[in-house]
Amino acid sequence: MSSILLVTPFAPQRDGIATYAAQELQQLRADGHKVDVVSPLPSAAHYHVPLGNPAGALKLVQLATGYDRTILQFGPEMLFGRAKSAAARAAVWAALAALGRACPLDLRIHELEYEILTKSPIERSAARRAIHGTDRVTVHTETEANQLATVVGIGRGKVEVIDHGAHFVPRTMMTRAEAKAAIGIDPNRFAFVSIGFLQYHKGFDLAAEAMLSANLGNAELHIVGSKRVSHPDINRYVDGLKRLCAASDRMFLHERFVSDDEFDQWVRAADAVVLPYREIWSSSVLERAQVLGTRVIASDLPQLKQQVRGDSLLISDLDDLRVAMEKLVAAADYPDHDLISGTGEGQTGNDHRSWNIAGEPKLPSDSRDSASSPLDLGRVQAQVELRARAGLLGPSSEQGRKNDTPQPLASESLMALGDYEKPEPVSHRLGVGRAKRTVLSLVNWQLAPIIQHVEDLQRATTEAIVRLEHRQNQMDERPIDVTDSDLGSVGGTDARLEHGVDGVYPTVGLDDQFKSDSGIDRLDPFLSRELVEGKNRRRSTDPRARRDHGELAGSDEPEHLPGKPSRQSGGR
Amino acid sequence: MIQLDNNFERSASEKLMPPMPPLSASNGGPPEGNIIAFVSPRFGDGVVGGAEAVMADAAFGLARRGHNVEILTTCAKDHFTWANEFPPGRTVVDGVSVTRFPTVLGEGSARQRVGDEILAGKQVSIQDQQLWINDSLRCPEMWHHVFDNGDRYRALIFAPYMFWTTYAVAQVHPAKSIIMPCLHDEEPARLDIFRELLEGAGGLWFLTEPERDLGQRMYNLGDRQAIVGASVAVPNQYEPTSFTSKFNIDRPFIYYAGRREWGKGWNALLDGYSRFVSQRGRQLALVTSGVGSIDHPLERSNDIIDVGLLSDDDRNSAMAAAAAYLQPSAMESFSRTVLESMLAGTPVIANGASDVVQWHVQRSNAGLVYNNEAELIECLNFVTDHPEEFKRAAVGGRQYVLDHFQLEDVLRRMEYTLDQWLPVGAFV
Repeated sequence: MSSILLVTPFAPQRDGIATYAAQELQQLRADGHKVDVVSPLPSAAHYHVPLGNPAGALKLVQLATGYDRTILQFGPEMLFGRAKSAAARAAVWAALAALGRACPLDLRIHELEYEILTKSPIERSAARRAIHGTDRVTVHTETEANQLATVVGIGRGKVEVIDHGAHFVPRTMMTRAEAKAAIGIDPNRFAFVSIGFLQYHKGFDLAAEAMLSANLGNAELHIVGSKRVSHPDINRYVDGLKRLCAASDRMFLHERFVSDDEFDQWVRAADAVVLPYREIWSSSVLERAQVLGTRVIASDLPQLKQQVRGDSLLISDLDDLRVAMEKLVAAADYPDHDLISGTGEGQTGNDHRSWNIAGEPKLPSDSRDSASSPLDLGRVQAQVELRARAGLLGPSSEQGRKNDTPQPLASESLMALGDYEKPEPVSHRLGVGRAKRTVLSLVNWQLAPIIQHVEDLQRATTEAIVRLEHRQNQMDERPIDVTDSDLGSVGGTDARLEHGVDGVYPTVGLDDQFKSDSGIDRLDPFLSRELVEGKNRRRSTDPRARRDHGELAGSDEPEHLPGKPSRQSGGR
Repeated sequence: MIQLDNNFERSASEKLMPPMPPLSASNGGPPEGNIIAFVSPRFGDGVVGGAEAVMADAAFGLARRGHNVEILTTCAKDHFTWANEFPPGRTVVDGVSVTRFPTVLGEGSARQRVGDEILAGKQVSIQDQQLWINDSLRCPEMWHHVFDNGDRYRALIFAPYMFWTTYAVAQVHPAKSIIMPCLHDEEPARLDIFRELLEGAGGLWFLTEPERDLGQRMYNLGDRQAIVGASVAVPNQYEPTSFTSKFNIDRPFIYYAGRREWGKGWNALLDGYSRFVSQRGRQLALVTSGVGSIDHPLERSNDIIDVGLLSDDDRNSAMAAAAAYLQPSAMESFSRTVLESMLAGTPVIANGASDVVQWHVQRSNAGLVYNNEAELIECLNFVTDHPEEFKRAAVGGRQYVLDHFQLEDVLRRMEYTLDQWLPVGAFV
């Protein structure tokens, strides 16, 4: 038995690394070690040492000398915090080197800012010394190990790869049926689950997009999680998810923080966990799914690829995802499983997906046909917008086109502008960083609203252009094609035109391509995501990403936007 | 590890025992997964607090009915200082194991800054909400005890919602955590951190219908919720004359018992009472017991009489002797003192801003409510002018309490929900 100091963000703080650390803590104590915890912010840890600056790091060194071993869950946010300048960051690394000299030190690297290390020789050198002095350095994938060794300049042998789920134990013993019952999922339906913090890079919107456009019968998608932090980008993203999920009664957004126990229940209940991440270092969700024996569909990112075991499916774009989901549903044996014949991979331009019109309240004024299905136009309108966008932007839109030659769109140049990227007030030159920060603090009250206004203006302009392009595209390339079954599904041709809020436009009886000739002048908040995708395309060197305008997973180049909340490995 | 003061005050009712390891099935404790733990921010002699009283009643009541019950609490007595006044470790009180853990206080600046924003109704980021809750009292040793010993417990009962002991510790094993939120319609209750806590709990016990309704309005609650109520002990006797003699009270008086603090409406009561005295003279005294400073000129003129912290018997007698009981708090989830007053046959004058108190008053017809200072003064005028009529009119209050707030009924409801939600062995 040894005494161990565990340095980590800690409960009750909502944090992926904190969750990971709690599991390691449980394992260490079960192995008989005496473990105390120190966290940078006040928490349930035994000690609270403000890190994020050299003084805090030195306090940590003092504390660690009383223990046989220190395990440090390494995340930039915790360690560097306010240390922005190269000198301050190098000082933090120096303190880490001192920690390594004071006692045996295990570094569990969950995330490292390689971009900064690459640019700053001072910091790189300090990092090299600190990592050299550690007893053990671990990462979760070979890719990370190679990257760490290459960028920092240490021998590859110094870096150990440990299984992300090494300390994970199942927190539920339920069977899938029991877990479904406990959560309230229909036991007769295939359940896809995307779970974790709701953030753009997790790509849960892609799972929803795939649900809308794939042939999945009665399968359901449950998106489960909460915002890790409050941030305008995250708020917009979650608003978009809500809109997307509202378009179908087979998609559910459960926006709340789930406990570890409930988390495992969801994963256990899932027939497949869907993780269409746009970017990730390593995934706790993937590990938990594997521990619980639940199949996973995950993005084909290098780090995830190395984590994946067993019969999980890797996907590289939205089309892949759609196919993977269809494949799993088709292979499953559910009594309620009712795929629409003639759709899926063999889908033709005249086939169509079902509309969700069931169970809606009957219009009080509609006394014409008491047997016809009651209808909520708001719900149908949401479907019209989303189906239209899926049809325009998704790969299936290619099928009906007369000409496969990629056509540049007018909005591309606007999208390529991307968001305004605020320069960080840092500098390698002595004193300059401080001067920049002083200037920033003096003028920020006036500048920040202007920047926000410019961004809003850019977004609104681009949305307007995209909308015009949608309309132009439909008028140019998409003949109106109403099938008998479309009309029958709502009780007759009279239902084809309904008075919407903004005028008269078709609300029902459409196929999977958008056929409105009236135009839609409602704002679609999810278009803001397309703007980000536009920026991706600008950066991408992959010609396919440029050709597949708006295809969400078309670019496999990870995006890292300055000013966004940082991602964390092990994040949920 | 965590430094404590050595000047502990030992509770008279606690038999201090040498440090003992946690009970387990192998050393004579109850079988694994069979214990019901009540996790309370404070417990013991001298602790004033409605939620704490409800928790203690339920813990000892269920223990009497044969359940394996433990109390997990802090070493603090005072909810302002959170100083560690009781010694840490395990003791036994009336056959129930009580384990105390030391508190740790935050530096407080984040608590103050974010707290001001919360009270102003501003949008507060999740990061700041977490800073706010973690910058008050914390009890890490309690968290680690529950983290390490979760298998021992069948259920963990927490109250009230706003303290760190509930927020942090109830999230360790949420599936077996039942929260008695003692909810008020207040800004902190709208924070994301509490929404997640309450929506994710293994069950919720509400004290009254209005509290449950408030919870349903504010949160997306699941099926595991019940109004279990709370109990009011029925005294064997009241001795109003002895009370007035003991404290030299020679005038009719209104009575307030509890924490004398802004959040309980104390300051507003003082303002209204001062104005009443300036208008009507010294016809009606204000007698008060409990904790918190008064520091008011009317105390020096003996119009406000502080009788200190009273025994249960003296408090009951004070209730019976009073012309009316004053409840100035808008933030009540149960309002035990209002019910104690009704039980003593004394009418209530209460702040109508509290849905719960208004609910009690309307159902019992045993009091008046006010919605502003002018109405408060009129209520005081009425009790001054017609004390006997007021008492006679409120006679139904006692039966109302006897019909609805008896301990055995509460315990039966608790047992029923425990069996439904967390049957013995559910987590083994």
